[in-house]
Order: sequence, then structure tokens, then C-alpha cells
Amino acid sequence: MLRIPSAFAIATLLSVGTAQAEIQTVDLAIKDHRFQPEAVTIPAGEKIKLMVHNQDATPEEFESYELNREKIIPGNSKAVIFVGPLAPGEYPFFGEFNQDTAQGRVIAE
Amino acid sequence: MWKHSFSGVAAVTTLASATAFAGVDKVYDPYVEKGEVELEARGVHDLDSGDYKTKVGIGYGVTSRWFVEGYLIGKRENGHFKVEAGEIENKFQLTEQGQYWADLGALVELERELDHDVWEAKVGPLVQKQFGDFVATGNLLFEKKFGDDIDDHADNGWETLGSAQMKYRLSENLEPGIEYYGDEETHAVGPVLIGANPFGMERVKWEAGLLFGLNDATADSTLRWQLEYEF
Repeated sequence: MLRIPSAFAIATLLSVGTAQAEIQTVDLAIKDHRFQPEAVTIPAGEKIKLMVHNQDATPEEFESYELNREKIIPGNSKAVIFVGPLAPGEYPFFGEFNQDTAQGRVIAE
Repeated sequence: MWKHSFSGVAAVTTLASATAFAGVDKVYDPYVEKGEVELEARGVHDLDSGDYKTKVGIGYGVTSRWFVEGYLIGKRENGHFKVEAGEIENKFQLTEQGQYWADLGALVELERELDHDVWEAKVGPLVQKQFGDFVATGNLLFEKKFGDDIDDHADNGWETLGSAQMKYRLSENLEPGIEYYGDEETHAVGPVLIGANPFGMERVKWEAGLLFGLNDATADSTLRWQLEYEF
């Protein structure tokens, strides 16, 4: 019968993954409801940390089905989004609240 | 005397029918969106007896780590529908998505029957891991009943509920998968469809699954559905 020790087993299993190499940070800004830069190039096959700085006063939602990520970034705030490891290719993302202008893509190469 | 006997029979019958799909609910992902408001309705139907359990709720992402949702719970048993309980559900996102080998969250629920002093607490981890185009999710919840009106003859210790889902990321609007639900008496497995933006309705998400009982204690076929509107 599964009991409390199972939760500890899961936590232990997860902690194995915490010993990881330094992850490269890539900056991405949101300003005037646009991503800057609109194309973010990252190395294929590596996990990177997108540091998204929403410089607008209003919130924005970073969304990408291709990257399997969805995150709301409040106005004048920063948020971290882990991306990858990705196969070489282009992965579009957009701002859910300003889709007409907030469009971008991650290029893994 | 007759009334007491009838109540006893009714209680046993109710318990038996409720047990048939007791373990089937939903599989929770471990993610939280700050500031998101969610309207939700979901149901679990025993297709053999016609009994069902349904929940309607409203939730809010208080922080980027904590989502809270309040529900009203209704049940139809033996031909009678009744709004039976209220529930507060708290979901905590413990790691950033993709930060570690798997993503981890936790669920803490407290339910109370409206007419009786019967409480039910649930707590446990939520885990999700992506493998290419496949996503595996597991929930392990520990449940305990307490209160002045609980059945003293029942086993009121901690019970364990487990659920697992493996889905294929076919497209943004449709993801097929398979699910398992089990508690200490019931076990069910079956296909599920997970969708978004039906008929062009943005911000709407839906799920529908058909679970087949794996033992005599479980209903032969159970339908579960879920509808969410997020804004």
C-alpha cells in the first residue's frame, strides 16, 4: 500500500535532477507590446533560461505550444522561462494579450 | 426502527455506488498562472448505474506559485441529485516548468459536507515530465476523513489515491491520451481526449475520458468530462 514514504521517494527522485551544469541565460524584453529581440537564437540540444523583462505597465502572457510554455508576466516585472533542450529549428511564441504585435521565435541551431 | 434500518441499507447502497468511481476525478498538472481566473465544471458518471458526481468552481492564481479554487459538489445517487459539499482546493507550483528533470507541484484540498460535520482532507504531490511529444503526469494524494458525523465503523485512516496520464501533443487543439485512476479499492483505465479552443472559442479547454473498471469494485465504464474557461 502506498503511503507517505512514496512522496519522499518522488522528492528524492526529483532532487537527482537538481545537480545540473550552469544554464545559459538569454534576455528577452517586452516593450510597447513587442518582443525585443523578436528572434532569439540559442544552441540546439541545450537547456537555456529565458529572462523575460516586461517593461510595459500592463501584463503579458508568453505563450508557445511549440515550446510547451505558458507564463503570465505582470507589468514592469521579470520572469524566468526554461526552454529546451531543443532540436534544431524554429519555435514561434507570442504574447497572448497583444497577439497583433507581440510575436517572436526561438531559433535553435 | 424501520427508519433506522432503511437508513442503514440506503447508506450501504450509497457507499457501494459511490465507491464504484471514487478514484476517478482528474489528473492535475503542477502549474500555476498568476492572475488567471478560471471557471470550471466537471463530472464523473457511472454509466452502469446512472449515478454521477459533478463539481462547479471558480479559481484564481493568487501568486505565480499558488492557485486557489472553490467548488460546490453535487451528487446523483439512487435517482436523487443533491448539492452535497463545498471544497477549497489549493495548487502549489514548486518548480519552474523545465527547470529540473521533472516538474513538481502539490495539491491541498479541504472538503466539507453541507449538512453533516464530515470533512475530507487531501494532500499530495503532482509530477509532470515531458518526453518529446509525450507528456506524463502523475498525482499521488493522501486522503483522510474527520468530523463528528463520520462513520465510526469505517476505516477512517489515511487512504491513498493515485492517478496517471500519458498524452500525445498532437496539436494545440487536440491531444489524445490514456489515464489510470485508482484508490485502495477501485482501479480504472481508459482513453482521454484533451482539447482547447473548441469551435473557435478561445480560452476554453475541455477533457473527456472513458474509464474501464479493472476489478469488481469499480464501475465497468465511467465517463469523465471537464470544461474550463480561463481569463
